[in-house]
Amino acid sequence: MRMNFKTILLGLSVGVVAASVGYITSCSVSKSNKLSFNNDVRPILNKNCMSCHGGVKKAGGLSILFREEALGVTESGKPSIIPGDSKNSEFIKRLTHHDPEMRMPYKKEPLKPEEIEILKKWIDQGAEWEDHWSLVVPKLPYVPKGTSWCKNEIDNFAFAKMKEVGLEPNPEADPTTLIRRVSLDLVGLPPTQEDIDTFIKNPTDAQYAKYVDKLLASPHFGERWAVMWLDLARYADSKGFEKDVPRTMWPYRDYVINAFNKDKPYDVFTTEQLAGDLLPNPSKEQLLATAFHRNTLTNDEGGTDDEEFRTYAVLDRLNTTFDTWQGITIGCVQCHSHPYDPIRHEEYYKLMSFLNNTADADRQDDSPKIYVGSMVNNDYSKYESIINQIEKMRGKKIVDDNDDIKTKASKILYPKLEAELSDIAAGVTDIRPDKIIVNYVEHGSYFKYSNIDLSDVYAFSVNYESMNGNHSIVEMHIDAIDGPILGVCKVENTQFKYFTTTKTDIKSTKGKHDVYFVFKFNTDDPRFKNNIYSPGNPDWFELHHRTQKFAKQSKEEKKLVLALNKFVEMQPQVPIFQDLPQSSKRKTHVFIRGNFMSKGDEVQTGVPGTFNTFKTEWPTNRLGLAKWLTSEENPLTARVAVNRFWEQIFGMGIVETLEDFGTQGAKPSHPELLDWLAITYRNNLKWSTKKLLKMYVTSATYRQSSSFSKEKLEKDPKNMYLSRASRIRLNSEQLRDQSLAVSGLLSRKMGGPCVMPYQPDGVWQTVYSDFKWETSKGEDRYRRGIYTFWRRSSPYPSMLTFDNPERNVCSNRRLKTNTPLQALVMLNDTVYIEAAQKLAQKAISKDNIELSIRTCYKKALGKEPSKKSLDALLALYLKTEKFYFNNPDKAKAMCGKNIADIPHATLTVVAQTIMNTDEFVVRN
Amino acid sequence: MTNPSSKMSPSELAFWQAEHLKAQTRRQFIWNVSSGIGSLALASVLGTSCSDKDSIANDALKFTSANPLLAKAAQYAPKAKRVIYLHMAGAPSQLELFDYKPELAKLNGQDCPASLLEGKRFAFLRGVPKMLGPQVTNFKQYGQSGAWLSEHLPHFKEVVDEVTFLKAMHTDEFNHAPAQLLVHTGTGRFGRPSMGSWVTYGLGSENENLPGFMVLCSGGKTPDAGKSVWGSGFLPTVYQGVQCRSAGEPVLYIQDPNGHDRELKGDIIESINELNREELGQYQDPEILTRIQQYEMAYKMQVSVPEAMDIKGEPEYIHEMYGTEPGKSAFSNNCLLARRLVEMGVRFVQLFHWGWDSHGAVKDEALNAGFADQCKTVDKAMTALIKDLKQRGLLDETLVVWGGEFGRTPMRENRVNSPAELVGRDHNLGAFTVWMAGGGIKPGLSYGETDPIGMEGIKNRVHVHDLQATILHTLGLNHEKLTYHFQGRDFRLTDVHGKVVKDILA
Repeated sequence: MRMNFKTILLGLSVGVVAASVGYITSCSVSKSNKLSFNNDVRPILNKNCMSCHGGVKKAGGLSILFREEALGVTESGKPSIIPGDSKNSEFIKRLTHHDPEMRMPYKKEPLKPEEIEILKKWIDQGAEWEDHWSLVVPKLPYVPKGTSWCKNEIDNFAFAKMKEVGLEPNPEADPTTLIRRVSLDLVGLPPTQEDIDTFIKNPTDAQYAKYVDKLLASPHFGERWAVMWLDLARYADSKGFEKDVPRTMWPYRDYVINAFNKDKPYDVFTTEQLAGDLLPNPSKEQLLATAFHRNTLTNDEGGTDDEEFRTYAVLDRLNTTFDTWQGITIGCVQCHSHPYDPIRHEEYYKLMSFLNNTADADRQDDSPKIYVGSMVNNDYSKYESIINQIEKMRGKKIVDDNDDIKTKASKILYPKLEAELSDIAAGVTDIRPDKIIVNYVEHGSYFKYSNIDLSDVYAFSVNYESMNGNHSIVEMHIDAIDGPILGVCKVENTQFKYFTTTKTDIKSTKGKHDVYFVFKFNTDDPRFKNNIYSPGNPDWFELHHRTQKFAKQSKEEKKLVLALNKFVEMQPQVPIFQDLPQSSKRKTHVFIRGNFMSKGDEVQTGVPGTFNTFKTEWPTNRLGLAKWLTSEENPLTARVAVNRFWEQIFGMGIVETLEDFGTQGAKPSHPELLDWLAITYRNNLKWSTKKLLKMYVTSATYRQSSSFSKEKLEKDPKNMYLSRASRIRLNSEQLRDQSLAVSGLLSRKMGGPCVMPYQPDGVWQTVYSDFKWETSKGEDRYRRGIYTFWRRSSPYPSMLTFDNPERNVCSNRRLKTNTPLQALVMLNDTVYIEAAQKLAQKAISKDNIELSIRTCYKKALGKEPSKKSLDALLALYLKTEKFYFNNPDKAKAMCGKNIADIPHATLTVVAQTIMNTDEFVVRN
Repeated sequence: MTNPSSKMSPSELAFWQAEHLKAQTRRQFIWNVSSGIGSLALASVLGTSCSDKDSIANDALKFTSANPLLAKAAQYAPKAKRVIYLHMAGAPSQLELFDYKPELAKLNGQDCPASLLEGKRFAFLRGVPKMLGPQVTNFKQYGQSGAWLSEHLPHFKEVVDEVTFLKAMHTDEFNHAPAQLLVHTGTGRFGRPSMGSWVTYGLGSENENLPGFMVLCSGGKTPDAGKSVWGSGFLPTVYQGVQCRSAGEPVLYIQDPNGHDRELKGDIIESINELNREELGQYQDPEILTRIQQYEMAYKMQVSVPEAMDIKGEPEYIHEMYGTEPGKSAFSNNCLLARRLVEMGVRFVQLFHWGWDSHGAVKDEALNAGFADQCKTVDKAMTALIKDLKQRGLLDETLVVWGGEFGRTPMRENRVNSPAELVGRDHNLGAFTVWMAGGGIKPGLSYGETDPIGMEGIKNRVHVHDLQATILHTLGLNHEKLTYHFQGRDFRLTDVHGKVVKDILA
């Protein structure tokens, strides 16, 4: 296969290599027409000029990324481009200069005459720049006239495009294929035989729509769509880096599942995840949503610089926000202005400033966190009653009836002081009433309580753990951090193994004061005063009053308190977003060449100039950022979202590069359709994802068969023009779920802690961690793939083989590879063997081999095998039966029983074969 | 098992092969390992190099989705065809092995001058640490080249004339996981492809029945940065390193379940493929043909991988030479395996040997305790590897690289809770030693020099990115042109850095 390099270059310049049909820019220039910068000029500039005169490099002082830069004076002292005057524009002269040192592009092939003509004409017409298509707010396009084939507007657009490129739609897929397709697409599970039969009997539009509604209402819908979202959220169950210890994030995963199931409008879904904590009176659910950005990695390796990794997390959050909602890669701009897209270096840091003010700081305990007990469907009545009993014993109302269970418990258990502020090296952090333990308190860290009446106080207690206790003290200051000292507590060494309480008498004082508890090292050894060692971590402080506030606890009460305490400890805590108070806001600086150690000018929050403007009525925080993203003027959010869902349903995005809507990404195959969908999703459907998906799957375009004709294969190998349905290989979760579902092994239990299904021994061997993979018991071995424990340094190996991302960074799409290692998983992994065993067991009919095989096949694929397939499977059956007859031990192993059940073992092999066919691993 | 493709009539087969090729042509040089969705612009390897003399030969364009690992021509004539990378995880001390510093001995026990600490970042050093002299009694020069070695490497002296020492290596990261990521993926953060993935992406594999990039671990633990150091990052997963294990299955999922045997497995795969061929007739999707081929390949791999991993058949003198410990996940076994694998055409063999983090915090790693045992563990085997490659005529075309992720400080670590009798050194990103031997590298050279206490390079410094550029260069790959377009830009192993160290090239 010989290639011509010129063709390669042309292909690249268009941006979409295989999109050439219908997308090759016309090179002939008519005299009168106004040129389009985006269609006619930009491709020439990007291909030939931008690498030296773009964002990073400004050779000769010329950059053509922005108009004002391009029209400015260059190093020669003259402007390069004079609008309206191509004759005198140096820019044009240089393209045909006789001196090779002067002629541009430098040391490369000259531009073609027709390209130079375009550039001349463009300058003569005024050298207007145009924003890239994706940065122009979509306008409602004209919907092309439909035909009888069309079922909704999607089809009108698709049909018009097919006509344009000379293609005809495929006929509708057969009912069984269609039902399997839509079921796998919407809920990630195969249809039941009953669903198939109902539809086959009456394959009408109405019946189909009814089935779609049923799928959309299924609780499994959320499980399927959360998988897509969790790739973006780089969701994992461990913290990453060297130690990679587990982290409780699954309540966030359940939040995502619930959000899809409840059809939470996409703008609300967006706002909650970016800024749920900044909403007025945020609910637990809204706080939990902000765990989206707490999925960043935390580095617990010894001797790391927490500020370095905090900064890294913030940068990752910014990049992820843009990848997820704007489909624009912004990571480049960390180091320099964007080489192709109009985003400037300092604009990156303005955006970063929105995200730079959260209280988390790469701490080992991942604080701040919330208890999410009430999110999990548990029965709390027992604990409610304990709380009531204790209240009765204490003879007063302590809790508020509207409090959730954790807050109530907290009020009962910790009638202690709760610090408002603490200074720990990286900044200032609230200590919230949720009993957040602060790790890594350093020399000089303090905890502040405002306006406390000390008149009746004679002592304070502090509950803490400490490794360097013998050198540490806690000083109680009043009025200021260096104000008068009322008492000094000597800290004892607990080896960081337990918490202890030390009570210290104080000088008496009158009236209300601000109280500061300051942790210090009481030694001259300078090593201690550096930030690597901690004087101790406090859990709580308590002030002792001369007049007893509470009666002494009875034995009975102590028992109840202990039970309540245990309950609280068991509740999962999830890291969330929480802003630092205004007074201690972090400053954001430009990092020179992206290096966090070399800080440049300070910047304030702001958005890139080429995007929609940031309205003055919006708050300049994450909530404002969410409003900016979801506003009608944002050109990208809705387009990126409809495109993302489109890719999941149709196999390829309207913009193929889901992750890049910028000038280097693919152009939309159906630009008008994309805009129509974006506007419809936002305005008409009010961001309802279920309604959008229903529109997708009820279209005639979706319902086509997926057969290729030779003609279509030739004209449109990637099915860009939608003249058939795409055949899509199932992802790892769907493959697992489908096998478990057809065999009847699948547990439909939803949510809750992650599970550990079968995994080969010895996969987890990570440094400095003895955390083990312990295979789950009972139905938890057979839960849906989404619930599998995901450890970043050692992800579930069979899923990794099927292209799951490692979930260290935001991932927009899973490439679908086709490798021998995948075949080995499907053939040899225990879960697939067990599924085959179970399927065979269900399908077996005594003394009727053919019926057994047909039943097996039907259960797996929802239809009868063809004559040819049946013959092949029958032949395999007979061979295998003979083999097991001669090798009863093998038969025993294959059927998974204590006896050599030869028919069962044999049918298991047949079931395995069926579950390895292309038809099974692909959705047609 | 017969070739399932033969079940098609010859004309049928010819038709599909032609279709398949045509589809590839239509995809316009898109190297497609995907089901028609993710398409990888091969042009990202080729595009930028078109105008240059050293562009890839047109032959290299024979990619098919059926075999993305097909061997490809290099960008220019390579010296090395394969790489064995011996990573010493935890970072061995150069000051006790290769970098002889008599001056440092004189300073032993003195306070570290403030000037050495200013502006530096350390993992654990705090306050004013003491200087620590070399913890060895005997440092000598060996071979014609006069390479410096300590008494800890008694075997290695026999091969020093085959080796080039890079004595002024430096890096940007001073914590293990980020520094290991930097060495293997070109950045200290997660998400990028590893060197072995880049190399197999660029060159494919020479053996169809084995993965192109294989990984062997010893020392009881996998590296600090986890499996990401052999991950494929944003490259297709087909390029990720395949970890070979010495306990359990040699490669995950490669063993037949107990209820199968080879013949039965052959029958199963033949039946699967028969059903798939019928499917192919109905849907006419070339991807089905690919799946048929992948199942055949899987069947072959099930034999070839365990065979490759079985060292029992090696003669006694070879076992003796490497000091193997059959049945264990020993470094010596892995060195022997590495030789077997490159012999069979595996492109990139990555070894990780854990246990060099000599802080002096516990006995196992302290410079005056466990460090010597570590040296013993690797000395004989790495020497044998070089000798064995040489005697088989493989050394000329196999590049061997040895090194950690950073070096160690000339100061003694002063952690508060360490036992007083143990000595150790903190992480040092300013200087460490890496050695290279074989394909494309000048033998018997010491390149680069550190200051009199071994803290920083002062002459011919080589950054980790330079090392990567040089490794790729020996394989005939231009590190600036081996790129992959992802999220809006072209990525490469060396990020925006890296210079080939021309002085050490043969």
